[in-house]
Amino acid sequence: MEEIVVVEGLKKRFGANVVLDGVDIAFPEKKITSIIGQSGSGKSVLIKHVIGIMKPDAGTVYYRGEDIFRATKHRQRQIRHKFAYLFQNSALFDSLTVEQNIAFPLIESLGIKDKDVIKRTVSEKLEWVGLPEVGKVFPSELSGGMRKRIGLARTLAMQPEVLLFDEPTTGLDPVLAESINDLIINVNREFAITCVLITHDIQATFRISDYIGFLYDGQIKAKGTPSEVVRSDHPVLQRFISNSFNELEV
Amino acid sequence: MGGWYIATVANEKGRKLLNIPLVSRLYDRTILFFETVGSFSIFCIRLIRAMFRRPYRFKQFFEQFERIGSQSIGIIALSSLAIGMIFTLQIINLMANFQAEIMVGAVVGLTMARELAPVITALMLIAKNGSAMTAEIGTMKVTEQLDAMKTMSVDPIHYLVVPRVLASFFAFPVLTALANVVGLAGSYVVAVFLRGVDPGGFMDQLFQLVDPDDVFSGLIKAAVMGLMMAAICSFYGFNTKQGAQGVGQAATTAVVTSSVGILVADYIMADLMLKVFYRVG
Repeated sequence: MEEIVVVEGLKKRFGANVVLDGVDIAFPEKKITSIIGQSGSGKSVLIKHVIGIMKPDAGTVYYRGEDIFRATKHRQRQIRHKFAYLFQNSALFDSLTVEQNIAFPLIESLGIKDKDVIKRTVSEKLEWVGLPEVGKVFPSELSGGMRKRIGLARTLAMQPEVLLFDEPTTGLDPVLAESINDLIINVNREFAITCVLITHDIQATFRISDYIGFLYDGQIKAKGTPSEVVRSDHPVLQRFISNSFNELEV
Repeated sequence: MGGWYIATVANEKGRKLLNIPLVSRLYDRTILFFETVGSFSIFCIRLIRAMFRRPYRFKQFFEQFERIGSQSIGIIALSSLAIGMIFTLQIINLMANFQAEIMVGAVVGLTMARELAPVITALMLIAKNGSAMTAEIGTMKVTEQLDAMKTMSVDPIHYLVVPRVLASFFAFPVLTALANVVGLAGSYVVAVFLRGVDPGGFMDQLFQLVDPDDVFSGLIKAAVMGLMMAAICSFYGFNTKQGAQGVGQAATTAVVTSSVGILVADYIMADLMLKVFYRVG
């Protein structure tokens, strides 16, 4: 099992607030890895370091063995093209239509100029997320679930090797949440993309993840396959798991 | 130490609950001021570097030029027409005391060209476009759209700010030139048609006393003010914090700061231009 991204000793503080205090975790290639933890435990901060929009106070992130933060600016840009990020609220550009949103990374990030290629790719991605008819619509006219799907279509247009999901099902009803989780599995299987999720949806995490990391107190306190993590004796993690599955039984 | 406090909140038993020390508050304000100046300087350096980096975004430039320039023609024409007419009405009564009403065209022309047209144009455009610039970029900031751009290796300063700054740089002088023409037209209407000033004399004095340098100095000022407005308003957009309230607060701060900024810059430029163009002082 090859590790495509390795986070090593990552530390970050905002003023007196220590958010990450030496995080160590690796993301295996072509697998789904989830980071779970309480709200405000620093999951988003961790993932923003992985994609390079935050710089650590100490520690680093390796992509295929290469230190991202020590690479030249040009190389950092090249590495960043391998990553895509689906934001919690999708972060669609509200002044652009859905089609223009999906075309944006093709033009700006991948430098594609051929209009036919752009048009074809946009249609393919819209078709893939099951929303072929909304191309001319502005994001403000879409529901939360549709925005998530368009956000996913936009990230897929970047042809990433690693796709990071920030709370992909937060704010969605259970049926929509389930459909987004299915989409994540499809992305992983069909395109062989390494998926990294941060979430506090424990049930979904155990259903779709190959590996899980538990972030608490600025550190990864438990990690491994779902069956390994479920046997962890960390009290907060145990409470987390038991509460989620008790809810299911009720 | 009582004199060092500017606010004391006490409960019903008279026990002090909160003291806000004046010295500490002044200290915080000073630190914040220098922090803002420092961040703005870094922002400007990044902006200047981005201006010369490819790709050149002509589409975004023309979109912004249309928003700042073409869509502002009406408001600039209306405000400069009003200023020209009101100024003429006021000044013509004063000049009548010296039987010099014929000079009114020259006085209005000179004042419009050197000061009023660039300043009025800048203040109107700050209110109309500056606040919109901050609100638009600020909303993108709080909804993580700027972060989304970064994840796609797109520099938001290059994509969003450079076209706005360049469009303002070119649109401000064009609109100032329009303000000059419309303001003078308003002055002509009031002076000639309403107050009976001789039209030949009005135009003669205008062309004799208003130099091309006067117009040119006003246009240079306008271009600098355009740069300042777009840079300041974009900076506050980039530094927006916490939701809708933060966006509103950023827009207000941007409008106030850029308005005060262009007035201060106007004084400095006026002083410089008097020395350069007119060898005064």
